[in-house]
Amino acid sequence: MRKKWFFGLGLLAILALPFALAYFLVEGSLNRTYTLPEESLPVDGSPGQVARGEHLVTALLGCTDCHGPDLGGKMLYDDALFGQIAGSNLTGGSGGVGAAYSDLDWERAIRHGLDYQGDPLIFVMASYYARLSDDDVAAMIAYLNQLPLVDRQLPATTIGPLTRFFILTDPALLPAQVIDHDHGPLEAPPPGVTAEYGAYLTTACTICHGPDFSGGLFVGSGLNLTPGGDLGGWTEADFLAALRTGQVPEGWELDEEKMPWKRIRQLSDDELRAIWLHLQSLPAVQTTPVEKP
Amino acid sequence: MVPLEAAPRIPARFHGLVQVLWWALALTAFGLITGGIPTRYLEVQAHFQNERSLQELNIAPGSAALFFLLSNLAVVSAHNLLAWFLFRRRQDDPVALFVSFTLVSNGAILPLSLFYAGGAPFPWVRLLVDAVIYTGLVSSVVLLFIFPDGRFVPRWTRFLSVLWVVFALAFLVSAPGFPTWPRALQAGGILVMLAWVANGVYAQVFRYNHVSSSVQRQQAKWALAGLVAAVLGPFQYVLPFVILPSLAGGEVPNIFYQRVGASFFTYSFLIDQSGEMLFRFATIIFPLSFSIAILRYRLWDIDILINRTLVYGTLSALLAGIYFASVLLLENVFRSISGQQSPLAIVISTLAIAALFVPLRSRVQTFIDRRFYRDKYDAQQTLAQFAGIVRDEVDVNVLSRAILKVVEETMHPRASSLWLRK
Repeated sequence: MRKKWFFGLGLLAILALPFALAYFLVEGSLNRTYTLPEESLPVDGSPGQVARGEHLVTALLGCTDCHGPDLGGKMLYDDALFGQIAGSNLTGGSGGVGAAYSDLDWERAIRHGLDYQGDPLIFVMASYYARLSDDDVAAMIAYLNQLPLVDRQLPATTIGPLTRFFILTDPALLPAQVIDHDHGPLEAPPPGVTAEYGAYLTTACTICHGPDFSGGLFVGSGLNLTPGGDLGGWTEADFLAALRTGQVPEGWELDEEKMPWKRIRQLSDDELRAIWLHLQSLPAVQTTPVEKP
Repeated sequence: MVPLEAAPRIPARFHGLVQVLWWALALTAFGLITGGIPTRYLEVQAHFQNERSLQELNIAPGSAALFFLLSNLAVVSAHNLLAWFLFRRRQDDPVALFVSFTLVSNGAILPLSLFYAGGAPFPWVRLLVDAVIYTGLVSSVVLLFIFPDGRFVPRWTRFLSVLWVVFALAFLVSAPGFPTWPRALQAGGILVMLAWVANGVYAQVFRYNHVSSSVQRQQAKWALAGLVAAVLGPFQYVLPFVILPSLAGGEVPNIFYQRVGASFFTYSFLIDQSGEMLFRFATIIFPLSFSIAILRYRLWDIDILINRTLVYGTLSALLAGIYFASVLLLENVFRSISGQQSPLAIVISTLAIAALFVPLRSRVQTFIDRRFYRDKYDAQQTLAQFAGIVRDEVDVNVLSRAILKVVEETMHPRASSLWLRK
């Protein structure tokens, strides 16, 4: 009888082993303590700063895609084995994090991928926003601080047993693990129609278009934006027109679900020209042209 | 073929009526299912139109829709075929007929509740759909209380059956609102279903231990195997309500999809669909085992099936566990050494699994035989010892004694003697 129990327990132990390993390895990452440098951001809440913050949050960086148009949060994914993933309610309303976050907490969430308690945030875009300038992060915070309150309770993001395996194979899913936290003060290039400023503005574009802008790997990923890619025959005017109207020179329309041109069109002409210059300055990468995504 | 013990026969004059009823039910169920196919095909195809996981896998939405509909039809056909076979062979046996009716209606529960979840073209179609589903819900649970002799055992299960008839009707009437029920009420409804099925399982175990004859015990073994799937039966009706919200769910924002990576969503999609498919095909166990219990239980040794299931189920679980643990562990070791992922982890783990298969299978087999099949295990051990004696011994007297000992230990005869010609 004892042997039977030992066998049963042994079987259970072997079955549970990979999950236990995944659980404890990921728990280790989730409970890791990060030492962050003392930072002070120039958040003054002036109308100009709030306007700049709104421009960054709603137009350039795409925060509304996951946090909802009112930034009151929305459910992104709900699966028993993979977990519940919610874009948090960023406002100060009921169920929102806004009331609990100080300016420093916001900065930690945006650039370091940590919540106000210092715990790593899952699936956030922090690794892309880590190099945003102090002024721009301050502007974002100023805007977030004055958001209209939205009362919306969302379930806390939880990671299911299978998601732990993904986190183990792709550490960037917990961005705090891969961010250089000790970066010192950050400045943006001077605004203007320059390739350098364009590069700064396109940080979030690499999520879909890939780190070298030659297009992403997955279905629905972005076009090859390098000179050797899908924009090969385009002019600057074509580029601006495509992002203003959604119509590309080849005659088809950009899919708003995949390429949020209605959001991007809020960028100024100078910003779009700077982006165009940056794209033109990239090394050409040859890929099979996309006829119609 | 062995007739069910103590089951009263149906008089020949009623056979015509029984045939009419059976065909009416079978044709109604099949007609409703085939009638719902075109609409359901368009629904599933439209749903899969923007399914990125299918695009990642290079599968056309139409092909996926067709596959899911064909899998539904395959399950229905399996139920109907077995039901028809049972009906043809046992028209005079009320329990066999009850099982046959149950199989037809039970097999139709899932496709009908899926195909007509969005509504029926006419009220009378809705009425027929509900009637077939109701028949399936009621009969598949009551069957657990009366199989295999047609009597309610234990006696109190007849009251449970009456309550179930009422509950199933109440559930059917209120089902369209199920998705909007509060979570607690939804859970309560499912728990009640589960309670009835659990009582059915208990009734079969009770019957096995206290009431059944040796023939009925063999039948009960098959029936209990089918209970695994029978448990799922009534839940098939709830399943579409669980599935449909996700079918209608909004799309993940592209920026989030690209950020997290396609493999996350593709695996999630594949696991969800595989689970659903597994669930769907697991329901075939129910008609199959009950049909075997009634018609053919002596032709296949269920003990061998159970033995093999135990051995290979345990073996697969063990190997899978070892494989995943080994991949995880080695990948972390390699990453900590070289700072990057290495395919070596998968290669080493695969080789280890290949090397482990035979010895592990042998050990698991020995363990299962020793624990659950003691007689056979002892007999095998005795034969193995006898083989050793035969190899080394030349004395006829010693060999004779050894042969008699083997016969006694393996076959337990009342008496045994050995006759040798001089």
